[in-house]
Amino acid sequence: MKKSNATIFQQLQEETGIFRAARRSDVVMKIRLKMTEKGLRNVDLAERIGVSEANISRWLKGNQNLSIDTIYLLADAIEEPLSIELGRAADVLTHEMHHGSHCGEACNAEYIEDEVGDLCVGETVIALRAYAKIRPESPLQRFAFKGSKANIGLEILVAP
Amino acid sequence: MDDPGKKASLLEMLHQLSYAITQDDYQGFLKGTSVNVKCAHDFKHAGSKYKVWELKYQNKDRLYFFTHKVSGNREAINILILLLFHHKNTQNTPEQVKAYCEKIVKIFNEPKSAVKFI
Repeated sequence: MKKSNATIFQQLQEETGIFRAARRSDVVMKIRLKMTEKGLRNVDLAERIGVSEANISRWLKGNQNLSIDTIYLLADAIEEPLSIELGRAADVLTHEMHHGSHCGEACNAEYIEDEVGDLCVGETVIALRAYAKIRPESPLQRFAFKGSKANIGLEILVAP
Repeated sequence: MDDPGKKASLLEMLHQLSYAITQDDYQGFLKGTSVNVKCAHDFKHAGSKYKVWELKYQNKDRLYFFTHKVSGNREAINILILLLFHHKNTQNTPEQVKAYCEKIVKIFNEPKSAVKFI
C-alpha cells in the first residue's frame, strides 16, 4: 500500500537521526576496507589528493558529512570505481532493517528480562545475547560472528 | 530502548564492528574511526585469563563483548560474542556490568558447553 506524504514525513522525522551516523560511516568503512586490501595508508591518500594527512584522518574517521565530491575524490585516490545506486541492496541501512530485524530485537525489553537475570537494568542496558539467535537470513548475522573473511552461521548452544 | 540517540549509537557501533570483523585485526581496523576499543574488564577463572572488551562511541555509549576460540573442522575459529549495550553514567565499568559479562564468559568456557555451527 502506498504511503502518504505525511506518513513518510513522520517516518523521516523519527528515523533519520537514528541512521545518520551509520550512513556517514558506511562509505568510509568501505574505503577503509579497500585501503587495507591494497595496503594504502592515510599518507598515501594525502599525497595522491594533495591534502594533509590530518585532513585524510578527519575524513576517514567516519563521523563527517562528506560531500559527494570528497567521496568521489577518495574513490579515485584508491583507484576504485564508485557508483551510487538507488534500490534495495543487502547492506543498505533502511527503515525496513530498523523494524524488521536487528534493531527491533535489540530494542525489545523482553530480552532484558529474559537474559540479564539479577543485573539491575532499565533503559540504559540491553542484553545482547539476543544476537546469538539471529536467523541465518538476517542481514546482520555478521555482527555476531567472526568468520575470517567468510560468513559463517553460528548458533550458541550452552549447556545449563 | 526508546531513545533515538541510544539507538543511533548502538547501530553505529554494530555497523562499524560488522566491517571490522572481516579483518584478522579487527581492533586495528577500528583505529582512527569514531568507534574505539579498549579492555573494560579482565579476570581469572579456572587458571585462565579472560578479557571483556568495550566499544566506545561518543561519551557514554558502550558495547561490551568478548572473543572466543572454537575448534573448527581444520583449525580454530575466532568468534566475537556481544554481551551488553550500556549508556554509561560513570567513569569506570559498573560492577554489575562486570559481573554479568563475567558470568557469560564463564558459561562459554565451561567444559560442558558447546558451540555449534549451523
